[in-house]
Amino acid sequence: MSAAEQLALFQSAEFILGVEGAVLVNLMVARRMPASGHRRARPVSAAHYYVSAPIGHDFTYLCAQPDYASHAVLAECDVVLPREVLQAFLDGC
Amino acid sequence: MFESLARLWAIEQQPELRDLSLIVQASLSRWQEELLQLLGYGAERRIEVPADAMLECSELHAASLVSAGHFISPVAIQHLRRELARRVAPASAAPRRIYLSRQGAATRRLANEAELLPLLEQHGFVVVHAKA
Repeated sequence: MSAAEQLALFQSAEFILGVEGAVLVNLMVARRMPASGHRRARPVSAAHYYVSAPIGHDFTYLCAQPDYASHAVLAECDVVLPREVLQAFLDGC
Repeated sequence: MFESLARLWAIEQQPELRDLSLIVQASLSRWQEELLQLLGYGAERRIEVPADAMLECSELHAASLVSAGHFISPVAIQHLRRELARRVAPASAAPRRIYLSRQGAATRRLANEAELLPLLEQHGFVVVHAKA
């Protein structure tokens, strides 16, 4: 998707879920909404929180577990989000 | 990149600087180039400098940093939000609930995504591959 397409998509969305990555910077144009990022258990970066907070998004993290075998650098590892964690989160929304 | 874009707010505060060209690194990514274009800094307003080159300027203004670590000035974020929203209209037929998949990425993928997708779809989420 182009940058403009990403921005248009985020402007229209009411609820956004995703593993933390650069694309979440588009939250800056999203309308005020509950937004969420899955995130590995550690380290937790606050970067997208700081993008979301001034706009008033309801931003939260779901902690996932790193798949240590997937990458030598912890911050780049694939993650596993337990189904029950996602289920509980979605049921509460 | 976002930290750099946010500095454009500082330039906007000085009307006499608005017509100056922007110095950027050479070989911008497509995403970086598109965002600069959207914000009014097309190729004609950019001076792209290769990493091994030096640039001699008769007049140079350096915008202050508006971020510290992960913290970015809320004023700069609101500025970018306004400027980009002014130039890009919301997608009319876009899904309201989106799940951003990283399956096409080299790292930081959701390893059990296939297991979670039915649950997400059940709650009205549509899978989006934003980087595709």
